[in-house]
Amino acid sequence: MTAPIKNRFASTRRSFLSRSSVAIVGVLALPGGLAGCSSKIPPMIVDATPVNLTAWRFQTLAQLSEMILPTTDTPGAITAGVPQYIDGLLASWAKPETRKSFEAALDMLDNVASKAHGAEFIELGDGAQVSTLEAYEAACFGKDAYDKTDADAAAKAGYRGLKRVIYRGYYHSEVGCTQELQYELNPGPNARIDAPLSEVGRSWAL
Amino acid sequence: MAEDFDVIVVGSGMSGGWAAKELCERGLKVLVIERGRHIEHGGPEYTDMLQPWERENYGLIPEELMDHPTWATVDYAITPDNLKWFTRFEDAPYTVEDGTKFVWVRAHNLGGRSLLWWRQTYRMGPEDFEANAKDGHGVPWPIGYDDMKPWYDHVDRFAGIAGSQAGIPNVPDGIFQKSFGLTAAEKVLKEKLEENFPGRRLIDGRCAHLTQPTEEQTALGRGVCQKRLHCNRGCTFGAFFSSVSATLPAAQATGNLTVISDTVVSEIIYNAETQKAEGVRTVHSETRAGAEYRAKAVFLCASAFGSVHVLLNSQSEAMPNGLGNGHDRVGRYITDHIVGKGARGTILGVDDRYYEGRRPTGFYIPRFRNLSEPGDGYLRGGAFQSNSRRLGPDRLANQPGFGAQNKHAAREPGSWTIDLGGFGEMLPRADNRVTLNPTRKDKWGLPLLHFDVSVSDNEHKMGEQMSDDAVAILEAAGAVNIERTGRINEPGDRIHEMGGAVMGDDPTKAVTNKFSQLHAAKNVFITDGSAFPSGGCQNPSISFMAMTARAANNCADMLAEGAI
Repeated sequence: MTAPIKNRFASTRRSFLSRSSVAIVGVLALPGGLAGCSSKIPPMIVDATPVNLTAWRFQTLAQLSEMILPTTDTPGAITAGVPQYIDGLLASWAKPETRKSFEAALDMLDNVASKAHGAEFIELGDGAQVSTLEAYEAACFGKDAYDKTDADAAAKAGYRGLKRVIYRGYYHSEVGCTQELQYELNPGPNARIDAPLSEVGRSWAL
Repeated sequence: MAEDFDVIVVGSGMSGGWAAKELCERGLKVLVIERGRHIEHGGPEYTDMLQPWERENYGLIPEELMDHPTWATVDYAITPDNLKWFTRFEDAPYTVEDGTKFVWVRAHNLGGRSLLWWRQTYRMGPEDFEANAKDGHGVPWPIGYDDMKPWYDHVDRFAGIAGSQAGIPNVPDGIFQKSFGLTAAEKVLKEKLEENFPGRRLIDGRCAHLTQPTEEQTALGRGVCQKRLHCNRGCTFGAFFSSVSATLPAAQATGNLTVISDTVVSEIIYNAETQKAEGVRTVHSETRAGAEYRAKAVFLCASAFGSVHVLLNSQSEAMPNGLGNGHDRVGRYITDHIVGKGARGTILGVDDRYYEGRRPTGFYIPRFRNLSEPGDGYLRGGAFQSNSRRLGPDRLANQPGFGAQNKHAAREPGSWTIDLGGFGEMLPRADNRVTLNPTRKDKWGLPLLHFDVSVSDNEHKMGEQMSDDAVAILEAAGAVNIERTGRINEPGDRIHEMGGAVMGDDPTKAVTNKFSQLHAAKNVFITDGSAFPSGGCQNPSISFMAMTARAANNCADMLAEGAI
């Protein structure tokens, strides 16, 4: 039983479709779509309407976030409201080139998926999504990832930045601070500066 | 001429708050004039009770804002919560000499930068007051540590300083409340440092936080530090020292204080016959309406360059170059601290230790170069002011990996990281100066300040050795993943600016005398950073406070005796 979520970025209602139904919805919606194409109706990974991202990219981001920080014995990135947080950041924090690089990163993920599996990222089954994300991360963090002459350099840098805000969005959320890790707003004067890890328990979120 | 007040204090920050408190407590009627807006301690501008998930953008500041040259190098100090207290460059511009850079950070609001400071409090030592006379740089100090000691003590008692007694001459001990203590990694570093480098010491960070509030502090509504590190959002507990939580309320309690905000002091009114100031002229920051206020004495506590600006702008027939500037010494000997050169590394062997809460301080390795050990071809030296922490979950964001295993790995804190950052002294040089821009004016009709400040070879050499020393210290502690960090910062961006109206016995070289009185007008006192002929390498705020308290009590004595 998880605590009620008061996170400002969390949805009021979420529907998780199974991966197989996601794939079916995607295929039915638009066979052979273009990466990030705004005219394509995406599978519903998170039941929320983006303000800044296209629906397709937003749902791709939701799936990506949940794969990075999944629901386990504690809620994952979607319950923590990470996709909505990042969608909001595009207007309230990101400069235009950062926004473009995040969008390019999401599109590149679709391109990697399409090349390997003939479908876009959120249309793939579990195993293909995992292998796609592994290959994609290898490209984004590999030794060639920082080559600015690479055509995908901005997208790769975009993914590295996107992953950082996915982590921030999760570990600053109420879920991340109170269920996954721990956080005290007012630790108090008796908080110990040097204490056994075994007594403190989990890592502090912040 | 009838005076409206006994004393006018220009500025309400670290220094102005102290002037107000001391003068009011001596029974004098005091007017504090703040150029910025009013802030209510514990009022709606404080955001310290927000949860992380309630903060705007979860604490990220818009990227475009941080790309602005004014902010880019002070990103260490800015959060979305305190951004409202940093004055926008566009609102109060300044100019810099071609080929130089200067970052002038201001907080035009009640309390000034006392709401923004990092609260580190280290006294300057006897050597710091002797340095200018000894090596010939800058104007010799007219006072020594012994003159300041009682006032440092006075400030400690009222402000509340957490620290530990260490017996180190260069950072003299004070009257401390209980120290916050060291983390496990810092204990390792301390043991290895003191074992391998006799004469070098590592001490608990000293900071202006209440850990054992006194009755006097409690009576002001101040409480014990909750180890939150929300200080830059304002502290509802009043646990860290600021003007708005401590000195201004104390002054208010006497019934002798009047505060007006949104009022820019444009100049000091000087009477050439009496050779004294009569008061100040002001411009309302919004309406631009002019006004005059009169008093028996004026305290300039407007921050180093704020005070210099008022002096330079106080032009009269008798003083065409500005008040007290017949010798063209106002605006000279600008210093900041040089920081950024250091090293970081991973401390091993204490992964079974952790911490609770968020300690609002760190640790300190006092200066040893050109004290107990020689410097490599430069004068003076620097200290290390640092912190340690175990890496958080974001360490996993910067590498490949995802899924349940990765998520669960973040439940364990990461390795212990220590970042040793040097804080070095800048030599006072007469050609590091600020003047009035001859053509450009601000929205209040006052000439802009123009900066021509640069660091010298001395600072570069010091910075290099600070890096070498940091690496050697970490190596001696068995640290791994050691890397050199930083670069010499842009002058001004450490927000420790000093100089411009320096004190000294020689009226042909100095601007104020040993009692902080303007040589040219004895009822004008300048007690903020502008009066400092050199800055040591210690965080300067506590020295500004002590200097101000000393001058205020001298002023009260002089007024009582009819000497000014």
